[in-house]
Amino acid sequence: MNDPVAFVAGLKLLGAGLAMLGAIGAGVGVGIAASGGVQAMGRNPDAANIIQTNMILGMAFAEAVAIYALAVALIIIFAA
Amino acid sequence: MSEQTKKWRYGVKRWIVLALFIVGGYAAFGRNTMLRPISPVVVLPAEPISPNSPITNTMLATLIADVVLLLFAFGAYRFHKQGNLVPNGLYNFFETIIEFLWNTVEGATGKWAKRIFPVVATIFLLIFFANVIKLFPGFESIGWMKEAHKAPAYAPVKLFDLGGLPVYTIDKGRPVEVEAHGEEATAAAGAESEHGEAKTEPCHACEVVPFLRGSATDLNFTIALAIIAVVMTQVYGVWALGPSYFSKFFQFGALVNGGIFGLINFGVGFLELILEFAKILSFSFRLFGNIFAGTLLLSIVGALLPIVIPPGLYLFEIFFGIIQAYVFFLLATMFISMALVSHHGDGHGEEHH
Amino acid sequence: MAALGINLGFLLFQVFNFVIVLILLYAWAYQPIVNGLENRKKKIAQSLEDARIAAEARANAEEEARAILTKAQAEATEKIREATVRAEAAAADVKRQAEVEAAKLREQAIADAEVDRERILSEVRGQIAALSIAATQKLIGDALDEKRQRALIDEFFSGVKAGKVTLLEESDVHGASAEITSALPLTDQEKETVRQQITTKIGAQTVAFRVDPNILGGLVVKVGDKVLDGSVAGRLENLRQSLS
Repeated sequence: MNDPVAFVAGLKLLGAGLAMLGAIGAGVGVGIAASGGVQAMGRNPDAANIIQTNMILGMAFAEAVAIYALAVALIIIFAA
Repeated sequence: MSEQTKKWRYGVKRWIVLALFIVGGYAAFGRNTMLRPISPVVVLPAEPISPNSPITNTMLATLIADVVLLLFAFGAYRFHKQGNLVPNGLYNFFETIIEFLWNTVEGATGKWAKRIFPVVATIFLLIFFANVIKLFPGFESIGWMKEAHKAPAYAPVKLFDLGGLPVYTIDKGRPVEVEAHGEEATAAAGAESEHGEAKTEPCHACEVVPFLRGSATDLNFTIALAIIAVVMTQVYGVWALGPSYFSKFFQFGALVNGGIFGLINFGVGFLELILEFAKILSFSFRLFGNIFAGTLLLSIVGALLPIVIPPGLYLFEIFFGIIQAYVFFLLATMFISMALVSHHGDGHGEEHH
Repeated sequence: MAALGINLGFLLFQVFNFVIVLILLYAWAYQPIVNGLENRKKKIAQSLEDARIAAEARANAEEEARAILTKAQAEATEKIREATVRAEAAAADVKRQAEVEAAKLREQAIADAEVDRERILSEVRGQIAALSIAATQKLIGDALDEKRQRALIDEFFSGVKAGKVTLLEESDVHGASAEITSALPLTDQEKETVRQQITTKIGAQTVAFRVDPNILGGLVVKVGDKVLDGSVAGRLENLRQSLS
């Protein structure tokens, strides 16, 4: 509290960590996508290729949320 | 006979692995403080390979990846010039990758595959080679020494002369207080310096600036690839659909005669335009985030527990390097193949397989 | 932006780097490898096609072989059947020939027996004549002219008197063929006489001679279904009937 610079630096780190909470949703989403993909492949192994492609696409979109969170966290730490 | 030889070799390998574990344990916890691993410096921007050099260490790593990739390509080229249909050795590996990519692109875009393939395949190969090369020893550990401005820094120790150039390492057992007030930083492990000719010691309290750093840990690399992918998506869209491609962003037609839903569609069109820019962000930060996090994970875990765990993490990093390259490639292919078909699905939909 | 390390110069460097790598890879890797892939695909397709054609050819050949085999079997069966038929025919032929031969032999034997009998009877005839002359001489006690006596006996046996067949003098039958039966074989001269007579009197073209000792003497002439009985046995029968 006596050193405002250190206080702001600490708050920055805290904010970056809070921003990364967005990764929770991405993690859940990626897990659901993988689960659904594996189940679909188990039910229909012949379509494994197309399922895998679409699964990776879906996972990438879910991961994008985590990436936005990461970008925000990095910007908070280094650029803000 | 061969069975026996195999068993014998297996036994030797086992002993070598055990010996490496013991050496790692000695380096981490032994009395020789010079070998002790330290926490890494987290530096986001790429650093120059020498003081005031315009070339950064990520650029150098990218160039090395380029050279290796082009050596493979040239080997495959010479091989094909000989007229051989069946390749061998490493070129077979290279060809297998290209065949796999070709099949994926052909499956996604059909007759456009020949025009799209070079761009997306180059994206894949460049990221793939950059990610794999980055895992070789020497990356992020060998560099020149710099006066540290952040604590804690370490004192330099002269190891030996390499052809007139003194080679230093930093003594991890002797942290040195930085004169300038610091926030937080450390130096990387096992550093060399080619800088010590004029002065007897390059610096008082040193940190290591590596000569080589993984290309994908530099946002310039990933953003460049993302911009290329997104711009090429628009180029292919215009190539396939003509100027009407842009009608998916600016739906004035829907606005004029669509009523309230036309207004919504117009808004959606603008969202699509924003999404194109978001693609750059997600492309670049996905690759950067994964690889940078992997690098950090390796060095932090290496500092905390330098034995047994890092080899598994290295395998994990190889896997992630390939997966990220594949995801970048696959997403670019998918976006391009989506751009090839008309937004309204009339007439051009048949081109898409 | 600078804090994140984003720098326009570095960005442009990476873009140029990408473009150069793209061009070199296009020239060295993509074009030859993709073309090679297509060539390989074509070659594999070609090989598969060739294999298919070869398999088809083999199937055809098998079919042909089977057809040839079937044909050969049919031919063999036909040949065997033919051979059997021919053998049977040959066997039948041989049998027939043998039968014919046998019949011929039998006929020959019969003819030989006939000839033998006739020869024996001819020999006997002279003896009978001599015996009867002797007996007559004993009976009558008077020796007739031996020449005349012999003529009588000849007449008795042959039914031919003074160059004429007595039997034919009093009949008027006509026919195409005649069968002459005598008790003893006629001499050639007598035969000639009888044939001449028969030809002129009856008009028969063919004349057959038989010997039957049962008629005792004289001649029996058979023309068609008519019988002129000039035999001694016939006359004795007539006598017996008229006496009883």
